[in-house]
Amino acid sequence: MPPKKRLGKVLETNKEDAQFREALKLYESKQYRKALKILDVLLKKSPSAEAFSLKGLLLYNLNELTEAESYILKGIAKDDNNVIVNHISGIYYRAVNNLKEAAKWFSGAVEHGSSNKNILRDLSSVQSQIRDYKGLVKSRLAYLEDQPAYRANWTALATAYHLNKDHAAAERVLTKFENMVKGNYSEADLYEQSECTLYLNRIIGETGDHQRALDDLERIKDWARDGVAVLESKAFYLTSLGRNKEASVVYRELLQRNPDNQDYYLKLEETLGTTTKPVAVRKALYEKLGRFYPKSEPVKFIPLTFLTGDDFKQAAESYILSQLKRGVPSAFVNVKPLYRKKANVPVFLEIVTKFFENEAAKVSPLTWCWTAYYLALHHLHVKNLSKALEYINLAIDHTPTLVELYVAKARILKHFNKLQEAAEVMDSGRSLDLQDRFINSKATKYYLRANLIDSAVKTISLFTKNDEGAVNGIKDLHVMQSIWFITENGEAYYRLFLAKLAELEEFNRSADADDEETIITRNVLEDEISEFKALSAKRFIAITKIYDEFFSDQMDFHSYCMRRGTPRAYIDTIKWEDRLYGSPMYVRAIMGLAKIHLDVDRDIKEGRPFGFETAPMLPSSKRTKKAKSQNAKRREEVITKTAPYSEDNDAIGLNYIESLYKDKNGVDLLVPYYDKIDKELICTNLLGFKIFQIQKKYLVSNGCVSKLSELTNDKHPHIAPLLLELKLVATNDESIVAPLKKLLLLGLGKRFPAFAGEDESSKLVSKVVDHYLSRSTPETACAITEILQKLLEFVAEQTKSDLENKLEAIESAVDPYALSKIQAFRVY
Amino acid sequence: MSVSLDDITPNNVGMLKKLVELSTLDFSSDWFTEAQSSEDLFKFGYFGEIPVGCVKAKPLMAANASDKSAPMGLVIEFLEVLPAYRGLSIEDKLLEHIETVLRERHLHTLWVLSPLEWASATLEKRGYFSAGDIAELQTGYEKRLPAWEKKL
Repeated sequence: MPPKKRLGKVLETNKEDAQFREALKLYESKQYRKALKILDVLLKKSPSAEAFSLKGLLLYNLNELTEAESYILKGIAKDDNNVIVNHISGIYYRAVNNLKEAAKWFSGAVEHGSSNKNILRDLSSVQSQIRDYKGLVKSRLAYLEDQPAYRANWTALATAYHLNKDHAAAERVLTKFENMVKGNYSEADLYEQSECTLYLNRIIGETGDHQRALDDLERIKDWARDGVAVLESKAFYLTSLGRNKEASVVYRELLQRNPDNQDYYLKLEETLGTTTKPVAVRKALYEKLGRFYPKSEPVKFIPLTFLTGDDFKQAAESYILSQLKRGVPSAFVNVKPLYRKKANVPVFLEIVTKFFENEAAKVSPLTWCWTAYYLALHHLHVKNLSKALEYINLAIDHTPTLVELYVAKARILKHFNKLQEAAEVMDSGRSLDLQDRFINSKATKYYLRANLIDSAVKTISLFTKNDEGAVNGIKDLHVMQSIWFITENGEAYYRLFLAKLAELEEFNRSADADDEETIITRNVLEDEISEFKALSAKRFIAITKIYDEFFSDQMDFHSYCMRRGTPRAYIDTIKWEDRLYGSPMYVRAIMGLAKIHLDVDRDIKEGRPFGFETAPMLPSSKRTKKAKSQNAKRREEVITKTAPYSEDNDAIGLNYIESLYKDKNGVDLLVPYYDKIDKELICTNLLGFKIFQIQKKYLVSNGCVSKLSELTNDKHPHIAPLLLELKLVATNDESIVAPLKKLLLLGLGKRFPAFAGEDESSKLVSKVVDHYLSRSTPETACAITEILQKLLEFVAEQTKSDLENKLEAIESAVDPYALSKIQAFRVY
Repeated sequence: MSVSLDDITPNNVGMLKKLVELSTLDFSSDWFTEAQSSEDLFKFGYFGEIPVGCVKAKPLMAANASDKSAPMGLVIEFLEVLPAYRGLSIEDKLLEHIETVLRERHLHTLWVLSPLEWASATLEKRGYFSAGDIAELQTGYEKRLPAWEKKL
């Protein structure tokens, strides 16, 4: 055996070496305390780098986190070329989720000649996780060279090349392995073989050489096990090669397998070229297809998207009435996409109303009921709320044991902005069927919308695992990553925070003097305000933690998928994870969190401290002592009711909020969240603008406006107030230097020419208003609110009254629920 | 649409409450608890997948009975079908079910107790006759209700 190559400083004596190895062994068998004892003795005699590092790792495992890092750093400082130090540092940083550092030290260990090839595996997992594909190729290759006998390592290298966009190399690796094995597979290997060859085919397809991909598909089609994938790829390649006729045959074959896939029909039409032909041709095509697949849903639905006039009416009638007669609950939802075309709406109304009045009851009472339900949803959709309510009440009087009706009625009431009543109706529906998880969740959500958090928690807790001692399901909902609940919960706390804040203001106005009782009541109110604000932030942060967990959950798959031989699914997963932080729910949580941070920032700027410390101190009396203990008890109860994790020393989140005030910084902590979310979203750029304005990074906030304009075809109403804000800064802010000012104006003028001209402010504003605020949408209303509240000094009297009129017009046109949202819009 | 019967569970007792609410009768909370443990003496009637009616019966003891295991017969305390769903053979199925139970228990008399004008045709058709008010049947009700009787 050749001697091991070790660059690090070798331990002084054999005895100490043996002691270190013993400690290492104890660490591996998880006997951390024993190991630590040996190390402490060793460190006294000869403090080596390796021993420092190992002590750091042991302390980490014993949960002494702050001390742990200092020892890791000591080890590195003493000898950062030592392979053991490198390896241990890698393990430590991976454990604390600092993956960049982990990758650095793992690769350090490899570079310094560690003989432990498993490090390469750890390294490649970490590199995959931080998307260092260049490094990944190297580590995967090195591992394959060490262990070429396993297919997993070949697959792993191919995915690394693929992710690194080196398709040719990926193809080479997969082909080489296949050639090596030459068909010698056991039965158990056949699935993996099928997956890997389909993966190879996908890689060839991605290079754009579809002819070669097609040829390759011919080679594997007989034994590849994913028949649908083979046919779908084949049809795709044929279409892209312009061989439409052959492609159409494949799509017909696919339809035979699954006649309910709408996509196949549309693609079939593409290949037949019927989309550009007269409607009659398309109609005939679907009639013919309908004879082949009489039970297929798309065959009946797709013609509704292109037929017009009497043809449409006829087809719509047969489509919708057949569903109503069968009592299909989702009849309305099925045709809802067709409501986008305004001309269709009265047609549906006419068909269904006529049926409702003349025929429905004759078919069956249930058909009558479902038809009334349809009509209620129709009127809800077209925002004719009173009519909707009328129909749903008819249905409920008729069949009061049908749960769906209560869901619909609650929705209608929600749009009336009668949130509490809506929640109660939903709950009465829930009481009919207690094992229906759907309506349980709905009732919970409606309670949260009505800010009735206790009722909501009580309801959802019927479906959670409430461990011994748990008063409700909050902890379980966090363990089970119930994103919708946590988000809605956070938003409800935020609304309660605002409501309590308003209550406090009112109280302060009406309270005459600072007598004892007034101070006591005020203190409780102030505490509640802080609690609600903190709890709201706590929930939103819980969401970010869940998404971080989703992201780190991939870690195992970097090796698992290779062993299981599922590279196609692996690549899909990676792509999904790359878009993870653009998920609507994540973005929503960040927007919720952002509001709180921006509130804190405003408090700091306006001199309001955390927890209202300016309130007069209470004199020490019997009454105040009692009040204090009552309040402390109340706080305890809040903690028991709301704590999301078993071990959490900041259960409500007050420390988090307090730290924001202490650091005098509301927004800097937001930046890491902002950095993660998808920049192609409108709300991201609106948030970015606010953050960078506060940080006085005006060029970056200008960039956000440009992006917003690019994303919305320069139409988004919020661009108006943002532009005016930038203009205000460029003209008024004395703190920015002249060149920057010039650059800012230049940038503004480039994209929005009106700003470059010598227009007077008032003219400019009316230009901006005309351009961006012409549509009557709730968003326009919010943008107008922002201008009126914040940027009035720019606005001429006439424009101001124009804007006010416009706002009023929008507010009177929307339903009460949408109105409440406009009115709740907070300007920062 | 098919008609079928199904059991009561702690989770759908709300449906029974709804049906009682719509009728002219009123029962104590104990009655609802008892309904849940009635086994084959309680059934919901389903139209399609929607419960639209139900029947609840109980064994009837003679007032001075010493042997509790020998009832006089069964009495249907509650029979209800939502108005829109009457005459669709749901009430038939519900009655038929209780009649079968009666036979299985080797009993011979079945009373139906409730102001069931809407069901009188069905009851007559099925061989029930009006029995006036019978003392044993009235325990537990505020109003004295007329009863229908059927002998098997």
